Amino acid sequence: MEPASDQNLNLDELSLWKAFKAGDEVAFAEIYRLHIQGLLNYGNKISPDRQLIQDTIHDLFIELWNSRQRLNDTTSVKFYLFRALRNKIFRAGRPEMSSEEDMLQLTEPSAEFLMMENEMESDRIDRLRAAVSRLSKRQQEAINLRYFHDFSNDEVASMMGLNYQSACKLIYSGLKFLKENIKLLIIILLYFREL
Amino acid sequence: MAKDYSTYDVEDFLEDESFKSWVLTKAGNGHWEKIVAGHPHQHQVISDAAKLILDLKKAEQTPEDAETARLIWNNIRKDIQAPARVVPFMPKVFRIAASIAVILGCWFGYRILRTDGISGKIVSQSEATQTVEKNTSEKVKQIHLADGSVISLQPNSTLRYPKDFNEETRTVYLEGEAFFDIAKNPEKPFVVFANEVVTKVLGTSFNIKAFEQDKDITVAVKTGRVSVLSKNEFDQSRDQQNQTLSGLILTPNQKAVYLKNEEQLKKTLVEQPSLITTSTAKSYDFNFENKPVNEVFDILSKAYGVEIIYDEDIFRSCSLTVGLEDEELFEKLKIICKTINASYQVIDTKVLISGKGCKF
Repeated sequence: MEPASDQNLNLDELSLWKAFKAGDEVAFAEIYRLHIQGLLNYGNKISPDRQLIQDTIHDLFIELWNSRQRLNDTTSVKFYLFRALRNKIFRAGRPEMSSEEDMLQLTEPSAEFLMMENEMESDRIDRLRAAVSRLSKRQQEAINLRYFHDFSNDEVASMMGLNYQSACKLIYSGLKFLKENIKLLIIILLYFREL
Repeated sequence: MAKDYSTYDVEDFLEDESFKSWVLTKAGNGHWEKIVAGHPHQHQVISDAAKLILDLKKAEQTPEDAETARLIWNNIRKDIQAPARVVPFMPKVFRIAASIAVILGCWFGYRILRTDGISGKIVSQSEATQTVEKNTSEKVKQIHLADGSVISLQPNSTLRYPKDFNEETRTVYLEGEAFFDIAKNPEKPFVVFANEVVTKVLGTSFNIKAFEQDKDITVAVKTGRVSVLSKNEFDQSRDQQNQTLSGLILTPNQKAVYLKNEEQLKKTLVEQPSLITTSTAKSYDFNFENKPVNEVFDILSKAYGVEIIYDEDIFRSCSLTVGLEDEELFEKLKIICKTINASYQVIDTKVLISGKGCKF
C-alpha cells in the first residue's frame, strides 16, 4: 500500500474548509489561526491604519462565519482570505490608486541619500527594506504578495484586479529597481572602502 | 517545455515562479537541486537570485503579533451568533501523503498559544457537538470512540472530538501525548490535529507527542504504514501539478521527529523497537544454538522490521549460542556484538554492525 494519491493533496485544507462550512467551530478557529499572522502582515502593507486592519479582519471572519453555508469549496483558503481582506480595506478606507501611479518613473536615488543610508544602516536587510519603501505602494504590495506570501503571478494579478501582464510588469519593475539600488549601494560601499 | 537555465540571468531566476517557491519553501521534489547541480557555471547567478529572494522575505517579515491576533479572535468569538468558544489551537496545516499518512507542520501562529497561556482554559460551549476529554490525573486515560478506535490519553493532555464524526473524515484534536489505535476504515480517514502536526491514517496505531513546551514533535509508528511530510515539502508539492511526494515513509518501529527550531524532519528508530505483530507473523525463536550470526541478524531484522547492515563475508565464520527471549532489540544486539567482538550503530533507521569477524 504505497502512499501518494494526487487527489489527496489538497484534502487537508479542503476538509478543514468543508468542516468549517458544516459549522465546525474548531475548524473555524483553525482557519483563523493558520492565516492571522499572514493577514496582519499583508494588512500592514496595504494600510497604515492598524485599527482599520484589525476591524477589517474582525468583520471578515464574522462574515465568513455567517455566510459559511453559501461559500464555495475554494481550494486556496489563503487566497480567498487575502483577497477578501484587500477588498474590504479598500472599500472601507484607502482609495484605490489609479494605475497611472504605477507608470510613474521612479526617481533615481541621489548619492547623498544612499550614503546616508549606508552610514545609518550597514545591514543588507535594512538597506533592502529602505529600498522597498521607496517603491510605489502597488509595487510594494505585489512584491509582498509574491515574495513573502508566496502567491503566484496569477494570484497576485487576480487579487490586485490587474491582468496578468500588468501584474508581472509591476513585480519586475519593482524587482529591477531593488536590484539596481542594491548594486549601486554596494559599488558606493566598495568605493569608500578603497579610499 | 524545457527551459535553458544555462543562459538565465538573475532576473530570469527571480521571475521564475517555481524557483521562487523553491527558495521560499526550501523544499521540492529535487527538481531545482538537479538544475543547480547540472549548471555549475550558474552557481553565482543562482545564489545571487536566491539571496535576493531570501533577503526580501526577511525585509518583508513583520514580528508575529500574538496579542493582536488574540484580541481580534476574542472579539470575533463574542460577535458571532453561535459563539465558538474555542481557542484556535492548531498551527498551519500540514500535508499528508496517502492512504496512510502523517504530516508534520511548522509553527505558524504557534506562539498565540504559547504566549497567552490560555490553551489550558479552552472551554467549549458547544458541548452539544463536541466532547472534550482532559486528563488531569496521573494515569493514562482510555477513550473509546464510536468508530471502535481506542485512544490512550497521557496525563496533562487533552483530546477533543465531535460527538458525531462528519461524513468525510474522523477528525480529533490533541494537545499533549496520546497513543492511537485506529479502527480501519478506508472510506473515512482518521485525522489528528496536534500542535504542529497533522497525522492522517486509515487504520493503524501510532503515538504522537506534541507538547507545546517541547522542542520537537514525534510520531512513532507501531503498526501500519505512515508517511510524513514537512510543511515545506507539502507546500512545494502542492504548488506543482505533478506530485511525487517526497518526505518520509514510516514503517513500524520507526519514528519521525520534527525539530521546531530547525524546521526539520528526521527519521530514526523508536527507543524500544517492539516485535512486529501482524496477522501473518510467525513467532520467532530467539534461543540460538550454534546459529550462524548472519541468520541471527536475519531473524532480528524480520522480527523487528529493522534493516541490519553487516558484511556477510566477515561474519560468515561467526556463530552464536545464546538465549535472547526477554531482551529488547538493542539489548539483544549488545549481547550479540559482545559475543562476536563487534559493535553496532544506529544510523537513521538502520543498524550497522561492524567488526573483524571470528577467524582466529
